[in-house]
Amino acid sequence: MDDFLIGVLTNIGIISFVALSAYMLLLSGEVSFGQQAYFAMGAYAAGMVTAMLGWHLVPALLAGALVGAAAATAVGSATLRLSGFYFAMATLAFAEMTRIAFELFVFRIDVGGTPVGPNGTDGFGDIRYLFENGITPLQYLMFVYALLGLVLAGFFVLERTRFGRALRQAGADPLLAELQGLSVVRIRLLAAAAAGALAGLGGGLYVHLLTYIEPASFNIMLGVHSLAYGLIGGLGTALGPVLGVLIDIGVLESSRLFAGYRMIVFGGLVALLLIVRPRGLLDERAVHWITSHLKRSMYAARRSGLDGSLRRR
Amino acid sequence: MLLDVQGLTVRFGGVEALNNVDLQLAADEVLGLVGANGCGKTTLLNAITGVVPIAAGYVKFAGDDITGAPIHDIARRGIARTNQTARLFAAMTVADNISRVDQGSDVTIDAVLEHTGLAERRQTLAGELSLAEQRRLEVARALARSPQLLLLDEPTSGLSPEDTDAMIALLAKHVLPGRAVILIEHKLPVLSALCARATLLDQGRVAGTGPPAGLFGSFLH
Repeated sequence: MDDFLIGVLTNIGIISFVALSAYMLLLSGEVSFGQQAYFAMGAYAAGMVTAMLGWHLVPALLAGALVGAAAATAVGSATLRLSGFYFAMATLAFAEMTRIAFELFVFRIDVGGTPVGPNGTDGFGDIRYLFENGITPLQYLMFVYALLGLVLAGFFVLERTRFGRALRQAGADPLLAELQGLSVVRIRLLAAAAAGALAGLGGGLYVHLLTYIEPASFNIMLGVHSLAYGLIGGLGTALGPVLGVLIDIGVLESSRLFAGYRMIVFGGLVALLLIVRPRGLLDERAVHWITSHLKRSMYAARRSGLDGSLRRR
Repeated sequence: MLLDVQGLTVRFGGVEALNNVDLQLAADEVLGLVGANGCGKTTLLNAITGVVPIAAGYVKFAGDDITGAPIHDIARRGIARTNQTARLFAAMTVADNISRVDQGSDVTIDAVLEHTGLAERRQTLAGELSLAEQRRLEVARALARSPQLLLLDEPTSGLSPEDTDAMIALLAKHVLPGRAVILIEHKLPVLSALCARATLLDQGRVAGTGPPAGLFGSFLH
C-alpha cells in the first residue's frame, strides 16, 4: 500500500470520529456546529500527555476522550435546555471561544533541552510519539481502524439497547418521548458527553498523525463538515457518517477529480441530499430495508440448508 | 379518587382555554369527555400530562400533587395517553415503538401486540401502517406502559365503521377493564358502548356530567 493511500485512509478513519460525534448528537435531535472544539481539546490533551509527560499513547488517547467528555458535559449542562437553533448557535460560539482560547494558550516545558508544548498561534509541534516508538504509518492506520471498529461495534450494540431506542425517540419527537417517561434533557446530556469523548479520542489520534497542530486547524469548517458527513451518509446507522467521510475525503478530496471545485461539489451534494433525502443516503428506511432483506436471505439460506440435510437423511 | 382536578385554568395569551375545571376519577372508572371542537378537551389532557402550563388550580394523581411536574415525571407515575392525530415514531418499527425505554413493565410486548392485532406487523416501520393500525399502535404503546390512568384522545377519529367497531372491541376487552380512563369521543355509539358517565365541556368550562346519551342531547341543543 503506498504512502498516499495510507495517509488518505488514516485521515478518513480519524475524521470519522468527529463525524460520529456530530452524528451522536443528531440522533438525539440536536444540531451541533461545535464538535471541533472537543476534537481540539482531545488533540491538545493527548499531545501534551505524550510529548510533555512522555507517557504511552493509550493513556494519552484516554485523556483526550475524558477531556472531550468533561467539556461536552459542562457545555451541555448549560446549553441543552435551549431549543434547536439556539443550541446550534451556542455550540458554534463555544467552538470559536475554544479556538481563540487555544490561540492564547501558551504552556511549554523543557523536554530534552527543547521547549515543548502549546505555543498560542504558533501551534503545538514536536509530538513525535509515532516516530520515537517506531510505529509505521501502516501500523497506525491499523490501530486507527481497530479503534473505529470498536466504536462502530459500540454503536451497533447501543442501537439495540433501551438507551439506543430512547436516543432515537428523543431525536425523532422529543415531546412524544417525554410522554413515554423519558427525560429528553438527560438523554441529550449523556449523548453530548459520549459525543465529546468520541471527538476527543479522534483529536488524540489526529495530533499524533500530524505531529503538529495549531488553533486554526479546528475552525468552523471542521464543525460544518462533521455535521454534513452524517447528513450525506445517513442517520439510520453509524456507518452513515463514515460513508459521508468516505465520499468527501475519499472521493472528492483525494481523487482530485474536482480540484478547486471540491467545496462547491460538497456543498451542492449536501443541499441536494437535504432536499431529496433529508436523513441521508443510509436513512432509517434504507437501513430497515437492508436489514429486513438480509434477515430474510439468511432465514431462506438456513431453511434450504435444513431441508437439504433432512432430504439426505 | 385516583385523579383529582380542581379549579384547573389554562390560558393561552388572553384566551382562557380551560376555566375553573373540576373533575374526579376513580381507579377503575371510564369517563367520557365531550364537547364542540375547541372547547378544551385536548387542552385538559395536555394540562393533566404537563404538556401545557397550568395558570391556576391543581392536578392530583394517586394523592400526589403533579401540577407543574415535568412531562416525563408525570408519565412515569402511571399516566399514558394517545393523541388526536396518531403520533408515532414513524421511522422506528412497531416493536420499537411499543418497547418501554424508561423502565420495566409487567406487560410483555408480545401480549400487547397480540391484543392489538399487530403481531404480524411487529417489524414494520410505524410510518408504513394504515391509519387504523396506527391508532391501534398508539393504544398498544400506552398499554405497554401498564398505566393506572389512560387518556384516549379520539381513538376512533378517521376510522371506517368496521375499524371503529374493532377499536371499540379492543378497548372494551383489553384496555378499559381495571384502569381509569378518560375518553374523548365525538361518536355517541362509541361513548355509550364504553362509558357510563361523561363530562360535557363548553368553552373551557364544565357544562354538565351524566350518562353520555343525555349529555349528547344537551350538547346538540
